[in-house]
Amino acid sequence: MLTIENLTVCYKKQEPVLKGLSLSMETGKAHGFAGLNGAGKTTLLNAIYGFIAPTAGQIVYNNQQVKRRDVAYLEAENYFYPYMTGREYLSLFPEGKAAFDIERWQRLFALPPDEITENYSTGMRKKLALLAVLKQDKPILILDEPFNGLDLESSFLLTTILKQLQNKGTTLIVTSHIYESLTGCCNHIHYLSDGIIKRSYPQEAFHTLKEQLQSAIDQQAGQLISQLL
Amino acid sequence: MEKNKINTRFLRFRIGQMGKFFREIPLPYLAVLLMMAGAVFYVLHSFLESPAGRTICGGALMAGVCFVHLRRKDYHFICMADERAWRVFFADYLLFSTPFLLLLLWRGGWLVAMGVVAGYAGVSLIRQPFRQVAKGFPVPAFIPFRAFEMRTLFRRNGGLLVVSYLGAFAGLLLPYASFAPLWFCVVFVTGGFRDCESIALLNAYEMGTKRFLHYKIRLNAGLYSLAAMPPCLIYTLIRPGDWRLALGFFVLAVLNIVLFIVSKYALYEPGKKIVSGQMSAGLSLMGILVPFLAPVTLFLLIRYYLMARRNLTPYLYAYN
Repeated sequence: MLTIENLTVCYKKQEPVLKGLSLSMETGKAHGFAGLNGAGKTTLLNAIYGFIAPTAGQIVYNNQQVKRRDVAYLEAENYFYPYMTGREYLSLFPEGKAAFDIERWQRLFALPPDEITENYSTGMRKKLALLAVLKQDKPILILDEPFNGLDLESSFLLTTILKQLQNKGTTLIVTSHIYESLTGCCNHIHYLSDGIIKRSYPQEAFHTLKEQLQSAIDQQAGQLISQLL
Repeated sequence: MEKNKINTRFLRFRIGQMGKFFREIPLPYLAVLLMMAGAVFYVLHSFLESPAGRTICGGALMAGVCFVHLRRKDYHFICMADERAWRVFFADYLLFSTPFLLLLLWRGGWLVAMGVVAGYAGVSLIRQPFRQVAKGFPVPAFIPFRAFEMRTLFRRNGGLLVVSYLGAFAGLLLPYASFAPLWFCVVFVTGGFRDCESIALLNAYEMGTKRFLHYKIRLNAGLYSLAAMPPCLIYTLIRPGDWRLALGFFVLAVLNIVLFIVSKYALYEPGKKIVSGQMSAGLSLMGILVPFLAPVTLFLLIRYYLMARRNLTPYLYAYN
């Protein structure tokens, strides 16, 4: 069980981005996070990974403070060292308990292993970063916008991989701005607003999230959009 | 935006950049830089006296400008921003070579100066093609994956490195001649520590700050030592009287590699290219050849090492 208790995060002396956020995440489940831009999704992920020290509160995994060795993180923006090949990049990451067959994984994702990453497309870069995360085989995977830039086939492939990881007992924390991607792989979706979780939706209530968001947009912006268009 | 005004704006921007560059140089460095510029001015002043010297200098300048033009990274951006992009390039080259052109005119080389200016116009019209990054030079298998700076450097500048390294062996036949190509090797290798890796890669080592820094130093300095030792040893065997010189060169070269590693992490920002500290780094590299500058290397080494420890702590604190 991954438990976030009363988590508050402030950047320097500014307003807190996360304001006493609390949440429990069951092991082997996928938790999606949605919310407006700037709602604090990435800050929450950074705090779980340990990039940011929380101002208050704590994150506990299996009754202990979460350690970075338990977590692998796919950042939203992926940067690769100039003139590095895909194979070199992957070989730098530590292997988990299971043996990671670079060749077979790269074939599955249609990535040329000995090509320089500068020659990769945006989607290929995302896939390479994803493989690095999978290679580490950690019990908690944090995926910030994993579907961005992926082609249709790769999106389905990723969804299948994420489901199989859940079956293996990996806890997944996913953010996405694409509704279908999030609902396709998550067991719970948490809606973040103003630094707290406004609502949590279990799988059977995902349609409620869509309806609520759509009706809110229609009410607040429908008239303005019709005027602008 | 009116197209005809863009050209002037680019020019103003360049002059602004130049002013900022000089304003940001600390006074002691500026003094050293002025001294070096004075020395270059003196050499050029005497060299430009003869027509042959003027022609050689003009030709070298044209070759340099041509090289820069074909590799400049803002080429496609300027072409998108201005329909007459060649005028921007032409103004750039003219602006940056003004001191040389004035010197050339002063020494009576107006014909060469006119040729150079006409050459600039020609070079500015050369189109830079869109191209994918090539595969690069083959990387030797003995460089481990974890020394990724060395591997990528080899892929980028492997040809130059191999030529310089072979030049060091060829130079063994003459006194001191091996050290110049070996110095170039140091310059190329240190150039590999200008790009910062992502946080993901930094964390892939799963080490705390101190352990991480020491590991990087051991790995990269060790690799350079392995490569530089054979020519230095052979030089000592051929000329036993110069053993102090060979040893001094070797130690300073390794210290400079270490300096560039620690300076990279002292100024580390995820995914960024390091642009600050170039002047001091350049002085330190000169310190290998000019012994009185050697203390600069030691001073910077300690300073950057402490800075690196501080700077990396937030990124690696989970392993500390």
